[in-house]
Amino acid sequence: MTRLARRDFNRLAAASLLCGVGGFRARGQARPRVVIVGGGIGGATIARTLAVSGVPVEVTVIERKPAYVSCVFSNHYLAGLRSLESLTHGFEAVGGRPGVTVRPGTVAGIDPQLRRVRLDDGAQISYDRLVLATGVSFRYGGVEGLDAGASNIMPHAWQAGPQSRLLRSRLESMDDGGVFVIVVPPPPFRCPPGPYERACLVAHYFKQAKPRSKILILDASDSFAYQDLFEEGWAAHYPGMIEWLPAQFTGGVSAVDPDAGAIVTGAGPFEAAVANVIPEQSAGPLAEQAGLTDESGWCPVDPVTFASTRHTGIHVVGDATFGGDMPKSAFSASSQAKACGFAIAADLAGAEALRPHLFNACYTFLGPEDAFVNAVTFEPDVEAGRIARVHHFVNTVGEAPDVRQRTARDATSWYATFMRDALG
Amino acid sequence: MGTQIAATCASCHGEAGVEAAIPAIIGMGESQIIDKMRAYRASESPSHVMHAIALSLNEDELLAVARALAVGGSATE
Repeated sequence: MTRLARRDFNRLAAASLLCGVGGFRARGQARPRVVIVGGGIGGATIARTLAVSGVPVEVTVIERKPAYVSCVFSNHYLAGLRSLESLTHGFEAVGGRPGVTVRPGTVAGIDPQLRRVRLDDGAQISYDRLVLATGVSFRYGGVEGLDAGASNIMPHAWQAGPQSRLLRSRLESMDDGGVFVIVVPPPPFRCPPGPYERACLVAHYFKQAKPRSKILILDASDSFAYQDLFEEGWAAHYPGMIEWLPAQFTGGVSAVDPDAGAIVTGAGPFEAAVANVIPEQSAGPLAEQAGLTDESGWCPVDPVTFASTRHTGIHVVGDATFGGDMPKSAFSASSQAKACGFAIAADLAGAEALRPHLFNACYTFLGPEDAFVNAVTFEPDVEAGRIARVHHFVNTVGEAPDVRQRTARDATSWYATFMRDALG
Repeated sequence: MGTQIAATCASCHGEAGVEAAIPAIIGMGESQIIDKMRAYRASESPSHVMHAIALSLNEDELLAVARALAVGGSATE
């Protein structure tokens, strides 16, 4: 029993799609090609799902980065609690799956009519099905002075990697007594509890290394996810260190001056020793140029198959979708990718896609030994064409410390398994 | 149906024999999985994550995923 491995989850998948589905490949046609743009959690999970589906398919994952660095647990890195290396996962295992190739490169354009993508090195790759799993892009323009250059001085660290290193080095070189300002953009953005968890873990770091320092959160909203749990945690672990200012108090952030370290709100400017300005987000120019987004800036999809409602032959999963009630999280991306992968395999095999069970769980740390987890189930509302929340459970305020410690241990266990499931 | 639902399990439950706070389920028997899932469905304690999952499955789906996991687990021995 000890060698029962993840393979077994894979073998399970192989059984189902082929039974009851006769005839595919019987005429010996070329294997259909699925091209996946983006090898992160969504893209890698689709590749795995297709590779074990039992449906003959050729999968090409186009990925512009040499390795995936997870945003998950990257607030731990900012606090000095984890190395960035421990959050870095290569694409070797993805490329090693049967029928899957990882092609390094950047997609410059999509032609939905001719069903092919163009890479910035000039190569063209044709597809039978395309999956966009490109995550979030930053939408500059809403805040005066904030652009990609400003993000090198006031890092967002909302895509893990060099930006995380930049913010960590700023925090390390900050004088004791400085003010660290986190600017939270209007929703929807990747990882709704993320900015507030970041405040917690950086406060933990300050408590050890720079105890006179403070954290100021300038929020574009007037409330936030799991506010009661956060406020309890802030008071218990970091009394007087974290101040949260909702938009109704400040009028919101209108401009930044990176050289002066200034953040301007309707109520006046704030001076930051270190600023973490998280820009507004959208699916990004590739999806926009291909006509896959709507006025929200995100990609509308069918809630059962994650097929784009804009172009046939294209699916979108993860943060780039308009996910209905599903938040932009790694777990959501994985859950959507499994549903989408099964749907593509079923479609290629001439079968009907099953109505998926969609799920999200996010572990959030108030301190290194104090974590909570939400658990949310979703189902497709086919008539409304959106994903609807069904059940929602989360830890509660006033819980015993051992419950939270156990959740923190579960989180570490989950991370290792979850990353192996997608990229291992 | 069971295999597609079982794919969700793999997001948190890892390899058997590996020390982890979240236990492995590959290798459990079918009736053991059914009993546990029914208990999770009935109570938010000890795991609200599993409570949510168990509530999202109807009885047919619960039986199907238990069978899929048990079959997948024993077949490689």
